[in-house]
Amino acid sequence: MSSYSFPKIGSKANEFFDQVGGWFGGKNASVGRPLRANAAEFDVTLLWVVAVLVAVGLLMVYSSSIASASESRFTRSSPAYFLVRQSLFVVIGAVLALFVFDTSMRTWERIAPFVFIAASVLILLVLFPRQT
Amino acid sequence: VIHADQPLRQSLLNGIGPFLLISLAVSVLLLREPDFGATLVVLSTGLLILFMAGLDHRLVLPVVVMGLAAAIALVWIEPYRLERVFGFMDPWKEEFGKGYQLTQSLMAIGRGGLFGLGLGAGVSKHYYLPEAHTDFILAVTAEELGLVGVFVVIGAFGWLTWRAFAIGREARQLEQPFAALVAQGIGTLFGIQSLINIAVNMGFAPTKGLTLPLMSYGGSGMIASLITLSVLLRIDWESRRIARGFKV
Repeated sequence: MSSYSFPKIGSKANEFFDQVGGWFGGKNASVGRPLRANAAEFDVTLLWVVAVLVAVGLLMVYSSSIASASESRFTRSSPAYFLVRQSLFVVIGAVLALFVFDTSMRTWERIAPFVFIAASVLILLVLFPRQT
Repeated sequence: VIHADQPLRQSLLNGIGPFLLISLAVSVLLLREPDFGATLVVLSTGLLILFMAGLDHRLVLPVVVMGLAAAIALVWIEPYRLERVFGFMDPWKEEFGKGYQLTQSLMAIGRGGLFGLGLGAGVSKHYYLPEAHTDFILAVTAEELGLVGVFVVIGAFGWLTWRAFAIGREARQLEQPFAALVAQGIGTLFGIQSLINIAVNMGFAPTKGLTLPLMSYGGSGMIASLITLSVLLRIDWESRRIARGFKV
């Protein structure tokens, strides 16, 4: 791919195709391989794969709980009980994920020990039974 | 799971000592719940991260052996875990006893065939299969969406795991050791947990009570998974920025 030349679009574009060539092991394949100039800012495919998994998950949660939920007093006989709750958590998770995406790895590295301590405290907490 | 970032000391005391202490403490906590499956996942992820951080395998291997021995011992002393192992080895022996959940799962998967019975057409979820919407959601998926649906799910998890490691490798090449280890840890976490859950659903591993990430019903698990993957996206985003010459 990198051997083609595109005189019309200027040298910037040539650079760009060299870089794409680098992706596939062309002449620019190097350790810190450069990305295409107009490439996506983040991994769109990853996002889609996760979205598909969550969507199939929601579908199957609904399908597998619809019968038991509609007959249970615990869910107040609402067939969509588990679907609604799970969707809510997906939304909450997505919003939190946005904030997390805004946190740099440098910050994570700094607060990692505290995150670990906080997580340990949380697993400690579930060991204490609630007073009834 | 996020420690060991500095250049690793290869000595027994400094290299793996702290990890052993911390993991022992965490294991005790997790086992008190008791959550044998989570202990297994967290510990193996931690060890794999240490290994990928460059710790000598001569230090890692003995710990793996010790861990396996401890796991077997834990199974042995806890009657219900032992029962689960035997129930898994021959689920049809006690079809309506210990093997019940697994045989129901296997029957659901079998009924699904190649293309499945169609959404909503499965019968196993009608009180036959316990935990149909959590741990055994893949069995219902197999029943209603067939082998094709299962392949999509397995493929997605496989791709996710591979991608996490690829992102980790890229971060390493861009000299971001912490980000690299986090990405690889995330890959391990998702890989192991989905693998174990899928194996349990198909009867390749004893029932452990592990959910299928991103799919099983459960709020905190869903939120944790999404946040974790967001960190992965962030690492990849930073790598792309660095590769273009930006500061992060």
